[in-house]
Amino acid sequence: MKKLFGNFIEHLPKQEEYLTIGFSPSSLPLKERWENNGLSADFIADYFKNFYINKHKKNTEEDEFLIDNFRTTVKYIANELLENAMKFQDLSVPFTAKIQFSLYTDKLIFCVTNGVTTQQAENFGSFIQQVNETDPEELYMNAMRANALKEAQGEESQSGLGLLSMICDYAAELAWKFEDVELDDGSTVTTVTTMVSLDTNN
Amino acid sequence: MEIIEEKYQVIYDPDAATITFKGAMMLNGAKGYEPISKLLNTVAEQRKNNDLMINLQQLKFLNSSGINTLTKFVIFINDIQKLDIKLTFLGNNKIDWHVKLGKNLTRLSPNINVIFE
Repeated sequence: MKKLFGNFIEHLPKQEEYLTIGFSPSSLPLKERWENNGLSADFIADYFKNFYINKHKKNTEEDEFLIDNFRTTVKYIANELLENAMKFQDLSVPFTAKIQFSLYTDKLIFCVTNGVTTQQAENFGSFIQQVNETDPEELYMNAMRANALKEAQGEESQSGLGLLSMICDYAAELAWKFEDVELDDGSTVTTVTTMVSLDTNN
Repeated sequence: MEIIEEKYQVIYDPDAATITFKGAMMLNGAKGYEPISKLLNTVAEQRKNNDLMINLQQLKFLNSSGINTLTKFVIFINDIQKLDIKLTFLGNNKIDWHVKLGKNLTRLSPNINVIFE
């Protein structure tokens, strides 16, 4: 099974610079694994900043703010993707989730892949359908309101706010791939890859 | 009332009627932010029919769960509890996400005040 949503680029053009980080549902307690999200996001953001500075630095104060803000955007997106991958990772399968960060001359592409249960794949699929069929801005505001009301009633809320903020606040383009992957032991796991493209010319 | 952690702090100063956020917050979902939500809601009850400022100027990073905590708070005081608080967010306009958050908060609740210094 393979399903694509949005403008998912299956074969990314050969890039000059990229970074891949893998993470397994290990024996480490969640709290420590959670800390790793921030560390990995910072690492990706600093890696990006180093390349970006070389190309854009003009030593003015405005440049400094521009670079710092761009670095924070990269950190935000990487961290959200890592958090989601960890939250939705199917702990019962030995699948190593990974995030790949690729630098192109005019854009940055983040790809995060993790294993999901059938139920998680279905829930995520209906969220993606909503994103593709509704105005994301409206969905974003409605999700914020729905979250507040749900929690006031003591219910848990899960709304994809992180993904919606990437689209609405950062003008990122999102696409997804669902795919069944065969593991070494012959069993099959459903994986989801979220691809986020960010234009660097803005 | 305050929450002091290595990477972030949330401090309420009753004399200034201001809750100040500092550092970088990347907690795990609504559960992770529960102590922050509790502090915000407790202060809001105390500031009923009065003013309250949330100072984010020294907050460098906030994940989407943290942003959700703030948007929930705005809806909590204005639409759920109707506490009649004159709420002001103070941000830094050199920080892009402060500006974006300010816009979203104003869209959610047009009667809140967002200022940048």
